[in-house]
Amino acid sequence: MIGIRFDEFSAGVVALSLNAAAFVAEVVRGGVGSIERGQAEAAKAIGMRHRQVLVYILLPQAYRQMVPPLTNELISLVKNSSLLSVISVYELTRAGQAIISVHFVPFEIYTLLALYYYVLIKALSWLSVQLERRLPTW
Amino acid sequence: MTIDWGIILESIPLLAEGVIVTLQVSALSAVLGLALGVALGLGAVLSVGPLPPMSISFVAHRFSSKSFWFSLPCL
Repeated sequence: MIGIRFDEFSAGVVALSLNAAAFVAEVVRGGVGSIERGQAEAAKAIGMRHRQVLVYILLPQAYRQMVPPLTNELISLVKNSSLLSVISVYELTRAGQAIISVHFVPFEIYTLLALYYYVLIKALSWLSVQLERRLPTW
Repeated sequence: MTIDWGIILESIPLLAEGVIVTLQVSALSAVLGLALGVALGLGAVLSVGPLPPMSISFVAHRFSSKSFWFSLPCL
């Protein structure tokens, strides 16, 4: 319709990215907004500009609070990737559907798929916990 | 009901190919989504240039569209 042709992989990545970007934007906005106003006011009082306040004062304090919701977003991104099976991206769910269409054993394959997703998400959760532990506390 | 263990064992490597694609898609989307999301989020916070109204309208549209809320049960 707009004259740009994507293959299914690129189209899926673009769609998921745009979807995730809205959530990430809210996380960033909320994280920066959660820092008490006095911090920004004090920085402005010593002559910092708006961008300097953001970069040197607000973001270093906010990023620790942003990590848990961002890792949640990453986990939901992995789960949402199953939607790309609809546009025939050969990801995990599509691979399972292909096996089911050959062997007609949906119970076994979907159980196996659930296990695969569980392991993937458990690993990501573990990584996020490790990352949160390593972040400095103020 | 009998479980066909042979097919399960046979499917493990085939599904592993799908896992790789899933991880590729997720990683690429995470990088692009993070870059765009941080730009949009900071754009909403900074009150400079055309970015704030653009980012606010993008995020607000994303959360208020009916198709989004109707698609939630499918997720």
